[in-house]
Amino acid sequence: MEYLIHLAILASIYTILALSLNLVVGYTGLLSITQAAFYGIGAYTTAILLTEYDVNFFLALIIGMVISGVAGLLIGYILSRFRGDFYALGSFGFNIIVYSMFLNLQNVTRGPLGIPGIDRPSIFGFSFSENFSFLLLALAFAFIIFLISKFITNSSFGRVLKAVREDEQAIQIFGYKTHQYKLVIFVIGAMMASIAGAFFASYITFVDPSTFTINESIFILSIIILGGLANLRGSVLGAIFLILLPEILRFVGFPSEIAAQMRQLVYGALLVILMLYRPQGLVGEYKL
Amino acid sequence: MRKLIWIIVTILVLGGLFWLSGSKKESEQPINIVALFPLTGGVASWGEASKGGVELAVEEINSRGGVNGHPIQIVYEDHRCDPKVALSIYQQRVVNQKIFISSSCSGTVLSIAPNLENDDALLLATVVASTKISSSSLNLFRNWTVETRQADLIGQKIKNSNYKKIGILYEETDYAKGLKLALEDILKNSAIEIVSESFVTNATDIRTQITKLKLSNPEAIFLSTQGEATSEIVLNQMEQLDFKPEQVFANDVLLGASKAVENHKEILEGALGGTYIVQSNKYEDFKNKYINKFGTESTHMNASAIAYDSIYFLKEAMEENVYTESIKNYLKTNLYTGVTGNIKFNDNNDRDGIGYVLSEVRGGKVTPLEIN
Repeated sequence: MEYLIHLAILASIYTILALSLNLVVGYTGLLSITQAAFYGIGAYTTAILLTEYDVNFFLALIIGMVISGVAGLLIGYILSRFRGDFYALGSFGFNIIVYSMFLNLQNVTRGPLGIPGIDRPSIFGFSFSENFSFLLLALAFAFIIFLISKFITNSSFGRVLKAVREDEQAIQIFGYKTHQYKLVIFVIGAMMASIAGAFFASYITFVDPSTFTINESIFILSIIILGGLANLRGSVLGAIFLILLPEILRFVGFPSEIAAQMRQLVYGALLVILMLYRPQGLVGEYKL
Repeated sequence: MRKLIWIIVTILVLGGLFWLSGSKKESEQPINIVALFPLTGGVASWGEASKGGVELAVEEINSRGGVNGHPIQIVYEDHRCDPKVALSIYQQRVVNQKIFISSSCSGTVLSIAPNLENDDALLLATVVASTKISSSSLNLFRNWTVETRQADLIGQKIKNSNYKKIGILYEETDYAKGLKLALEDILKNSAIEIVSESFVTNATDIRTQITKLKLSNPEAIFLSTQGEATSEIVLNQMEQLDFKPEQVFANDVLLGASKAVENHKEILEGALGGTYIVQSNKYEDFKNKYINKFGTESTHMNASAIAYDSIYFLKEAMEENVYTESIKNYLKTNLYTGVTGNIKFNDNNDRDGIGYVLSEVRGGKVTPLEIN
């Protein structure tokens, strides 16, 4: 049971990440490969505030969102002037910069040594130290993020985002300052990703830079492509699928000598097959 | 499309059920130990080396009747040096298995440690040096050394040599950087100037860092790497740039990378460093047995030997105890003499009095000079 709860917690965290990225990539059509950076900012902010300053988790989460939002504003300001491949490359670069900061700002982040001993959340004397209560909290946040995302995508603001995705120049003719829309959704996505980071840090109780590499950004992107771009249910499905798939593969009885390598091989092959037969993802509405 | 998904899911579920369905008689019920090793990725060579030691120990133990008639069965799991993956594996396995052994990556151990006591599980960690692991859980034991011990050995040698300036080239990993920090800490009150450069694990070109170090003209250099591949790259590019300070110091990882040491014997001639193996007849026997079984030495014989000893110590503990608590108490209060010497855990559950050997490279071979 604990194992299932553990997987559900991870799926909740990745659902938040996937929802945050889907707003940027799926709904706005901006190929951002930087979500792990904001995820990391949230995780490190929480880790540092909890271990060094004994700040409450929820306050740390909010501070993480603010820092991530400011970082998103700065980088998004630059990125919002780019399109297509240049946008992707710019966001890619930002992820590398943030990763390098985690690695080299040793006085703050402890570099590759990481930060251990991060506490679980607590509020009004109630601690979420049990995995089940932590899961309920993570699910509640994932649900709130889902509702916020739904509100955004159903609003007139969301319709402009879709229009930006479909034809940015056309909507500019109608007087919309598209770079502002791109900037706002990028900042919202960054702040949401930071929430996932806070939960990750508190749950795993340890953070180090290796978790927030470009590979993690690509993994989050894979979730939304597999689940389906521009579909919020797709983000949830994609997160559950990609968290569960490697776990299911661990139950397949490969010979122990090659089991680890085989699992990764099969995992990769299954993703390729799924993309071949379902390029728009499980429930996708838009294709990159 | 739906059909395809269902076919894939069905195959996976059936495969899983088939794997789970194996049942044995009560008397043949194996004692399972979960081995959390990095079997893929950048530090897989450490995981493979540990796995070799475990396999050899288990084969010997089972051929002699196992633990009170029960064979030991190792469930190998690949944590990929990822704390999240390690915790996933742990959460899945801890339902049925309470004894874990791990190799490498402090982060994986630190992510599991907070759960051990609640789950009544025990972890015997190897190849992890972070000081943060000490006392992180009552149910966590470390059969390896803390980074400060090796740094202390090298630091004292540097101090005694009256160098004015030394260089440090280190890999950006918890282990390699931990050693660098520990060495800096030891030298901080001396008049020795330290210039340091680092590189990330997947770097293939570190000529810039080496050139900068060369220009700073240090009398000695300390090389702190975490993998065989990076050790090879460092030595190869130092050779290319003709950078050989008066004295080279290297960590146990680099000195343990036997092929790299052999390939670059000229630049390493006279190099000093700590190696983590007690030279004993038992160890030589172990080495011969290992070569007989696998045809060659492992890339990190010290990791293999430690893993081998760890399984034997656990076997000894499990012969007299059934419950995690009593096995834990056995490990805590008893001494085991294995191929790596005496294993005794201190108050922090770290291996006590471990013999680090100052060793020297001569003709491409690492030879111990003294016992610390």
